[in-house]
Order: sequence, then C-alpha cells, then structure tokens
Amino acid sequence: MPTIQTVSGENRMMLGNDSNDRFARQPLFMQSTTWKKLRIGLRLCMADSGGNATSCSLHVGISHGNTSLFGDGGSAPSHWIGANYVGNFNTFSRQSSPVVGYGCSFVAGEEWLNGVLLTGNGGAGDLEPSTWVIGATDSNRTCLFLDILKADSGWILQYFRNTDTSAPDVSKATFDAQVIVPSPTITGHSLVPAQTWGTVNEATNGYFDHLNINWNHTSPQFKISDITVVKLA
Amino acid sequence: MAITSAGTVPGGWLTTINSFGTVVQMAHESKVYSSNDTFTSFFPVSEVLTGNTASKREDIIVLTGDVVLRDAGTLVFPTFGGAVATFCNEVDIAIDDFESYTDGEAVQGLNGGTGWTDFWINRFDAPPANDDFESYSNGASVQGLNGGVNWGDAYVARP
Repeated sequence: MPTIQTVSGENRMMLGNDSNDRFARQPLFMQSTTWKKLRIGLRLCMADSGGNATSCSLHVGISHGNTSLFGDGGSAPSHWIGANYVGNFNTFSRQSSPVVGYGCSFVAGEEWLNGVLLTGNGGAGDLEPSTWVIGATDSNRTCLFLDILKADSGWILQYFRNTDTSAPDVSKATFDAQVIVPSPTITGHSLVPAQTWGTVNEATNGYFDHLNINWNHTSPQFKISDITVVKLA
Repeated sequence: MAITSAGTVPGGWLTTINSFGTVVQMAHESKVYSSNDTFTSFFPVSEVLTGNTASKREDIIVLTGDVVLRDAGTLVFPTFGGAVATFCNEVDIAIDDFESYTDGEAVQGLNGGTGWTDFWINRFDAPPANDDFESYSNGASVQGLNGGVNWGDAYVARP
C-alpha cells in the first residue's frame, strides 16, 4: 500500500511498500470531459536497492473511474492510457556515479481496455531516445511530466524528464513554476518529441477522469514529493 | 546666417534651404527628432551614434535603449525649397503565424513567432490539482487521504 513517509523534512508518497502499489485520484477538472490536454507532473526520486531493478514497470497515466485500477489484474484496468516506464528489458539500470541513480532507456505509450493491452491501435512505441535518469538519494529529486493531448490526428503523448546523470535536485518552487508551462525549462531536463497515438474512443470505452499510477516493485521504492495534474487545454 | 545654440549639447546643425539655395533656417541636431508619418524618435539626432551630422541623416538609428530601427531606405538629401527631411524606418514588428506549434497545443506559454519579448499567457478556469503530501502524517496509508487542492475525490490506493 502506498504510504506517506517523512523524508529529509518533507512528506513523500512511497510507492513500493508492496509489490504492486497503485493509486488513483480525480483532479477536479477531470470531472468534465472537455479537457483537451493535461499534464501529470511528478517530482520524485528513488531509494537505492544497491543493484539493477529488474522486471519493473512504472505506469503513469489516466483511467476511467477509480474502481478498476492499473495493477488490479483480471479485467482491470477497464480503460487506461499513458506511459509505461519499463526500462530496457524491464530493467532500471543502477548507476553509482556521479550520484546513485537509475536509468530508464525504454518508455512505451500504452492503451489498455478491460485488462488487455491494445497493440493494434498505433501504439507510440519507444518514446525514449536516450536514457531517463532519476536520482536514488533523497536530495536528488527530478521531475517527470507526462503530457496527454487529444488532437484531431489522434492522441499525442509527450514527456519531460531528466537525462543529466548528476540528477540535479529540483526545488518545489521550480517544480511549481514549471509544471504549468507547456515548454518547461529545468536544468538537466528536456522534452521528448511528441508521438502520435491512435484514435482512442472514450465515448465507447469510457472517459478518462482519474490519475492512475502503478509501480510493480518493492525495491527500489519511488518517493514522490509532489503530484500536480494540470489542464493545459 | 549667423545663429548660435543656447544649449549645452555639442554637435552639428541641420539647415532648411529655399529654392534659391539660400539657407533660411538652421536647427541644432539636439533639437531635431527623426520622424515619419507614424513614428517619431524619442531621441534627438544628436544622440544617434554616427561620426558626423550628415551621416546621421542616414537611417540607422541606434538608441540608447534596446530598440534598433533598421536601415531599409534610401537617403534623400537635400530637398530644396522645403525643410530638410528626416527619415526613419519601420519599427520591428511582433508577429506569430502559429505554424511552429502542434495541433491542439495550449496557447499558454507558447513562445514562437518573432519580435515578442515574452510567451503567450492565457487564462483558463481549471486550476491544477496539486498535492505535496505535507498535510498528512508520517506513516499514513494513502488510501482515503484527501489533502491537497483541486481534487475531486480522495485517493484510492491498493497494495
């Protein structure tokens, strides 16, 4: 179960207390279906397990409702779209310098319907052209933004992450200021070029109205300092 | 024509010449402001950075601020029978045709086009949902927590 833990003077949500921690919550603006573009903004770091994290997968996205979450298994999630930060061969590679951290070199856009990964819908493939790096010390918090856009041409996924191996710490003030900016600027971070998704039929399969995140690992843990969901359009 | 300047700014003189070629009026460059039908420089000719007064008749006007008026014209000088004209050219314009943006993108924060000093700002009625977890207790389960701002419900969390 995700829990709150006080770390270095601030509270963080810990993901990875159990092997399949997940949660959902509805931003107020998602009570309406009129949003066209949103951003899920996270400021986070990881714990250090001392080695590579294998067979792991961080799903960050939006779901239809909060009764059928990503990670529930069976026919869940009923409808979900987002990014799967899965790493190369499901491995987050540990680095020991310049700071302890993990690198993720494979990110896939995914849409799930009733427990099935839709592979015939023009999936966004590998979104990551280099390696996303996240610090594994409490003082190396970086940002991870995922933008989800409903465009006339289909859904577009784009994300913003840190690639600096030193994982420079991002302050809350910087996070708050940049998470609302369509083209954010944070040291070490860059925006991955947008990739177009196929057509997603919300009217038939369920409107996306909740934030829904799942981490399928216990070691290392994720430590989320801030969550912000922004309606950009 | 004998004329003196009562000012303290050193510099040259601009003349008005009638149709007989006779100087009928003189003006010190510290009193002359370049203009056309839409724009008048707020710096006198004496503050234009050129080597001599005649050169200042050309259209490169470098102001002491952050504005540069480009030279896109041809010098016409002198004009007999009328006042010596002063010239300036168009001010740089700010333009954005939106072609550099992505379909469906929000206007807020876009920074394309040329001649703009800032990005687009728009207002919308949906403030961000945010939670920094500071309102919760150490060790609390996330399930059912309902802090932060602009959320529609509480956390649903599972192990």
